[in-house]
Amino acid sequence: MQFSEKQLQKWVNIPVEINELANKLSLAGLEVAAIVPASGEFTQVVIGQILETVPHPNADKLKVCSVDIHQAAPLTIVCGAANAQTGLRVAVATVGARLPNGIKIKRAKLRGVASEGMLCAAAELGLAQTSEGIMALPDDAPIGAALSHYLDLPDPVFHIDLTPNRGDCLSVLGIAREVGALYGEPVALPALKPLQDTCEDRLPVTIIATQACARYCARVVRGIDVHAKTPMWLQTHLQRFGLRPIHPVVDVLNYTLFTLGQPMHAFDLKRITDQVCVRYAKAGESLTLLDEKTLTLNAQDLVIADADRVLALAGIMGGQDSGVSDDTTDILLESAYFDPTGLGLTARAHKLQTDASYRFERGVDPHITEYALDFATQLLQSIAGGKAGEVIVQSDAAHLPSNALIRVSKQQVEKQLGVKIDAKVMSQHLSALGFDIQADSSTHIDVRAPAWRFDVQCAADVIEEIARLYGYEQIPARLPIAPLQAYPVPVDVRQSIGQLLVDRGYHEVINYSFIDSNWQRQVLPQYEALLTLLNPISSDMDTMRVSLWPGLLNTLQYNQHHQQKRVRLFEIGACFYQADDAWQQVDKVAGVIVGQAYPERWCHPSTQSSFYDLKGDIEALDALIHVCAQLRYERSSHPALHPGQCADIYSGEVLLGCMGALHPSLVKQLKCDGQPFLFELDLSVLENNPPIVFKKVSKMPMIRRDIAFLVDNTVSFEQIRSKVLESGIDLLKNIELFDEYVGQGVPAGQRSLAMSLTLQDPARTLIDEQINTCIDTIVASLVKAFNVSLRK
Amino acid sequence: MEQQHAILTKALQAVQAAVDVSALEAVRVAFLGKKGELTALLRNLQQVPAQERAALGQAINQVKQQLQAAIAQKQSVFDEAALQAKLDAEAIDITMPGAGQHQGSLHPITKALHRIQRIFSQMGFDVATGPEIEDEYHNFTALNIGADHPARAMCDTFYFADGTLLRTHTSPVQVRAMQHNQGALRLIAPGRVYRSDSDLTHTPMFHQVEGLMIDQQTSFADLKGTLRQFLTLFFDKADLSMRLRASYFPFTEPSAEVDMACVSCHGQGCRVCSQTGWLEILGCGMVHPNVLRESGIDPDQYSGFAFGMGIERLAMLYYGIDDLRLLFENDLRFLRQF
Repeated sequence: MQFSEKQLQKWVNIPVEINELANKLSLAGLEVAAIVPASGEFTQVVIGQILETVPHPNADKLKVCSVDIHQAAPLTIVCGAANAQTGLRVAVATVGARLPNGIKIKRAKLRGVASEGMLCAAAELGLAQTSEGIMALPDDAPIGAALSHYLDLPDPVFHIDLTPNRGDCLSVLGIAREVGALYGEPVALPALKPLQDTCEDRLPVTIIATQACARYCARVVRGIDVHAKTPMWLQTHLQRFGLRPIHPVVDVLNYTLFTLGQPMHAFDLKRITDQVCVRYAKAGESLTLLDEKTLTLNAQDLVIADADRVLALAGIMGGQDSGVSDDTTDILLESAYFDPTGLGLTARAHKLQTDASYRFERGVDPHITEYALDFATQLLQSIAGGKAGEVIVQSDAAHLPSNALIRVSKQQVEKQLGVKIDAKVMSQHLSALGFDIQADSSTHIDVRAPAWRFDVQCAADVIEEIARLYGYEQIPARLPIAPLQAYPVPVDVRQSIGQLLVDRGYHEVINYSFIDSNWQRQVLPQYEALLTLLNPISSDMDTMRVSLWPGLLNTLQYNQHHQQKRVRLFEIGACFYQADDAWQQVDKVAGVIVGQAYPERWCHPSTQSSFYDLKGDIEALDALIHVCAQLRYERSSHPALHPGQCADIYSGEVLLGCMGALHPSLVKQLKCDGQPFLFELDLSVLENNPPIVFKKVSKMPMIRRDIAFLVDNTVSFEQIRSKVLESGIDLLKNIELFDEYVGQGVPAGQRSLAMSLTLQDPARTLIDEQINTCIDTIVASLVKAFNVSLRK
Repeated sequence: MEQQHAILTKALQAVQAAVDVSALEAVRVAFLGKKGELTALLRNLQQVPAQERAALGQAINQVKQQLQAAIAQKQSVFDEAALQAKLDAEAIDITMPGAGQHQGSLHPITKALHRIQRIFSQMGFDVATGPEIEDEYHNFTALNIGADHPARAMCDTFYFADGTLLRTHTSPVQVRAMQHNQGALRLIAPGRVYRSDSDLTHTPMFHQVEGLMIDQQTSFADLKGTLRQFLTLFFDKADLSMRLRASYFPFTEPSAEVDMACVSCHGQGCRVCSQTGWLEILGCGMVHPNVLRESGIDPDQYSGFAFGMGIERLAMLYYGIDDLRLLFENDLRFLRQF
């Protein structure tokens, strides 16, 4: 909503300077987004009339104009505008004038002809964003007068961002009421004089859909002057509202709309057959709107129709066929009350939003209908003449909205706001806002909100009104008093996991939860059912991610394209997929590494990250989450991973996630620099960790023995480790693989593994004989199971 | 008597003259070794008359101890020098960089969230979370957002074919908490939320923290005090100025927008605050009685306040980040700074 200071002043006295007013309005909930001058800053621009134009002797496109500004002699001004014609009244920047762009007008020769000023375009004076040609002023513009005076300048324009509950403030009258309440200034609707030129014409009006239209007022106006022009003062008003003049009838209705908040419509009377009827559309009926769009209507759309056809979409937009045009002489003016809910549904169903629908959706004062009709008629007659018929009113009192009586407990006001407000002050504020106070006792107050307020329905709403007028700034700030209740100590595994990864060189990223479905299918084709948005913002964000990998791979690629060779990223977030016939939202942690295992540095070997570097990070997570002190890795396959370097990760029998090398085809497609490795784990399982329980430390010495053996490649280390553990040596405390060797001396298809075995007795020092027995047992079991050959 | 003193003098001179450890060892062998001169004297004691033997033996031993001390002292000089030489040889360029992984980083949104959580935890607020895919009831209906409310339109909210939607705020978490609790509670609900909006200052996914306190005497004044406390601690500004402007949310009444003095220009007006001197920082209000009632809480007995803020905005102001889109580009050159 925008309006100017002078427009507001017509309705209410403003006792303060405008910035203070703006601040007060903002604090009271009418947020002043900006105060903008109605024009640019200019001086010495006067109204003139072009007496004569002659072609410039040296330039085809220029004219030499003789311009009267009521001085001794007319000025000679060179002008290039096509519309600079004899008789036109224009804005003349005289010598010495300053224009908004900083230009100072000087006497100058243009192509050899002396020019004593400049004829201005509206845009050059900051009166419009763009303009064509020079400003054409009305024929009654007073020659010689200062333009700023004529245009009622300066006049600051307020831009207000209204919250959706304050439809009542979508007019100057509404804002004036609010200002009046805030400053204790009176605001009243002035009584209108009876109309002068009248006629007997009527048109039958019926409302069939009374629930959707509880009041419909209309009037015939005959014989309006087709040559009438919208006067400058009205054009100026429209400019302040951010509107452009269109047609005198339309301009009058727009002015009424922005002034009183009542949307109205004018039909060309000739285009109406017999009568006007407010009814629901028949499904399939069509209507071409003023903006030339043709709608196919639904049965819940409210329309204005005549005997034959639909004329307008009620309260939203008129039909092209029945609207006023340049040769319209007889009209039917409509002023009605439409129900906000139904109208809103229709507007949204047809994706329409107009100044009228915007107001009706938020609620228009049902008691201003007829006043607005008279207000507009009177204004129209003053501009374009015409004889006004009497007002035809159809009304259904049962369906007119009426605000209920609300009881507000004074104790409740104090309890909600935390401050005791004087009872007299409370009722003063409510009266100032137009509330009808029916009872005011020591304990409570019974009030009814004014008809223009659609947002006050319960005691809490009234309390807000009291608080707003009292001023939020006057309510004290104090800390709540409550029992010192503590909550269970949070086990925030995701915080510790995040920190661990950060400490191991990973950077956290946050990607959107929706992603390109094609890309996701490519990385994770095994998920057939995807959770796809009905209304994605774009096709590359059309489906919910089932895994963090597609996003991480995008981020990896982005960073490698920005010269980052060594990348270590992780993300924690929800993934969405179907399991057990239901959509699951599972929090996951995932990471990707590529490039050198350690930052490039004089002291580090320059080896590339491997599967085992990533596995080391997962083992660190494992150690952090005590639950799975031993995660299990099983050879597996995954469409996005290298088939020979892929593992599923289990805790007991529960699958936690998987890890591996990115599949070579994806490496190629993403143009990765180096081989990326990825992991992903289900966080919900990790969060489920039992408390730590202390185990006794043995004071006896530990004995380490190393064994090395040749074994077939088909046997995994995990098989060997399990076998060693199964061999039943209680004294065995630890197994560590410290070497793998393939090459000279090792037969093809085999490798050499070297392990340390740590033995310890909880109660005594081990003797050699015992130790040897243990090691022999272990070796024997390995030989038996895998046919290993011990290396001496 | 004379003999041992002469040996001592000679020996001390030899110790003095020894230039290295081996020379010193040679001196020790020459005088104290098995065939050494002092050892010989001691061995010869048996031939000395018994009445003189004790005194002489004592005298020789004294000389021996003196010599041993001199040798040890000389040895320590050599040890010291050797150590010094070793230390000198082992000196390194300590300005060369250290070994190991670089430190990674948490995302600034995560860091800001941790800061917010720590502050509210200290004030006794529990932390609650909930699903990101919600139903219309929890996201709208229970929050007094009627079926015809514009927020429900497809242009604002992401929907799925089955009628579920991506939550537009974390308020559904609060609804569940109220329904579960049925009385006094204090909690914050952080999480990701989604709105169909994308431009310079909006991303279709962002992070919110909403807070809720319900008790028998909770008032608007408590809300003001709590928010002042939070903002003061978050921005570490003891003299923070803050103002509440009346506003509108379907789920609170009275409702307010909270502005704080611009952190960049201290209220003077600058680009960050669009010359107003104020920064819009969060929305809040007293929980609407319809919302309490819908969750089974009696609004005549209980009252409560609620607030909600965007973590992106807080993080941007706290770290001085001037472009929202940086937060989701995940550029390492940006991330490494946190």
